Amino acid sequence: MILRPQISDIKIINFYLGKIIVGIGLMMLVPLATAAAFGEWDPVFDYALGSSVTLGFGFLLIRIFYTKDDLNWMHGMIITAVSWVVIALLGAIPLHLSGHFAGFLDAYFDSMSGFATTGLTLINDLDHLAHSHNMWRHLTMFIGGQGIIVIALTFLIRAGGAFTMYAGEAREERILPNVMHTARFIWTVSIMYLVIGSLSLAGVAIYEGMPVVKSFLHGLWIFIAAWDTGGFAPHSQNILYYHSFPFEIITLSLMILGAISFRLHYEIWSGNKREIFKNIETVTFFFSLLILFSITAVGLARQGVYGHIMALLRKGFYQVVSGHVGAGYSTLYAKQFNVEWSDLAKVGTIIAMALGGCTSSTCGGIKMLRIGVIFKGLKQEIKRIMSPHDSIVVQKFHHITDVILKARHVRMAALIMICYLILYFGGAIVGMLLGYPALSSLFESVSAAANVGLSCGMTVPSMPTALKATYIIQMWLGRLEFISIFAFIGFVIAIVRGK
Amino acid sequence: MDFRHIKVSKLVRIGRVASGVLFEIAITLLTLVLMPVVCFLVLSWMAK
Repeated sequence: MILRPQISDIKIINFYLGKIIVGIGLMMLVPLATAAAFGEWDPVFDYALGSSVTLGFGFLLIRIFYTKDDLNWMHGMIITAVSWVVIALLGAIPLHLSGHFAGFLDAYFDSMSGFATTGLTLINDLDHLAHSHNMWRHLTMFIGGQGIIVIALTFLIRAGGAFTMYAGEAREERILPNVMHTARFIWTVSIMYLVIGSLSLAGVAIYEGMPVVKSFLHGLWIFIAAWDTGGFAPHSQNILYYHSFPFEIITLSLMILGAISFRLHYEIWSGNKREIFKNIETVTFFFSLLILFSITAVGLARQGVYGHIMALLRKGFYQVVSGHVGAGYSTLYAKQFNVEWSDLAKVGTIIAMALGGCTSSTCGGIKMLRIGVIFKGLKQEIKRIMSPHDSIVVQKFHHITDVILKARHVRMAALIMICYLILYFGGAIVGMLLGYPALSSLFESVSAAANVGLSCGMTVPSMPTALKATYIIQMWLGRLEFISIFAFIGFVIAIVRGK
Repeated sequence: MDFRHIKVSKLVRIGRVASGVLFEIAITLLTLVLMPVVCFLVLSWMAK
């Protein structure tokens, strides 16, 4: 028998949802200040309106559903699932008012893409977008990459059961015993790299001849989208706009550092440097990157597009790393994937995008820990078959500590992997039904669902509405890794059919 | 200047974090160099 949720459950969910919405409304004051600083008066109005609506709605929820009750596991999961939909909706208001989108759905697509750190975009005339709108687009990536809940835990919510919301956001690892301290540590790492990364990028931009103020803005924005493995850029040519090898090296480094688990950052910063060589995630990531880059490089070499081996390595490596960590930064035009890259090279990149980076990082995709665990499970089964009938086969893996592989580890990893595969192929089938080629459909679908942002040219404002809606749902599902969304669906069913 | 008021443990912690950051950056750069080199060797071997 399914139990119908109580009024108190609805109150708790809406009360904390209101608090998170207030946080987003306050975040909108940053682009508002940017607009005022640069004398962009139309965007000042866009963000004043957007912020007012968001804050008003948030405070209204808090006022109506005020409660002192703590969260339980179900509440946390549902708040997380709902907050991402609502926040993307509110975040789309100033983007829609900018006049750079064909309609509200396109603005919502970009807003969800930003919060989910995907990087696919439907914007028109990106090269002439106001600084404040660029600031907001990149800030959505920072908010989404750090985690909306992590931000809320740091500044707004002091509730028991806060870990449930944190876990709902696909961050099941608690770095420190207290979840608030965990949230603060995530901020410490990010701010440390924000300073190093932004200044390095700004320095290179100044060296390459860009004006100083523009260099610092671009340094900040590119850092945010690289570190949070997002992929938005202030120009339509993406990273190709800069035509700078040092810029590519710095963005590659930031993308890889952003793809490392915050738990691993903590270990290394605490003096346990050997962990990086032993951890199942980093080892799997290293071999996966090596194999997939080799496949892509062979595909590119056979096609003979790049006249020189260095050009092949430079172009191929950048796209594969960017795809693997889910950043979506590119040094190619989208159409070049279709026109210049062979099917083998595209397949290498698609697999890299599908696998993703490390758990508890800013990445999307299946994740290296799950791939590593499934391989260990496979190894255990092979050992079991090879061993005498009554023998007990024990398989271990190293993830911060040595862990004995249990059936539930493999089961959970396999379940999430199956969900991702269904999502990848489901999106690809929708693309094919709408008349797009199979490989391009799969490329774009995996890019959306794994929150990557690389595009082979399908994601344009003129694409069918059904495909836009499909990618929005894929970005949402992919970012939250299904569990909280399944909990939300169960909650809705319980409201309708519960007793 | 008198630095005696700064606790040694705090300095140790700052040093540990700084070395951690440098180590991470060094490993990342090493990966960026190593991967294309290995791939180049694979391509050369295949071309033979």
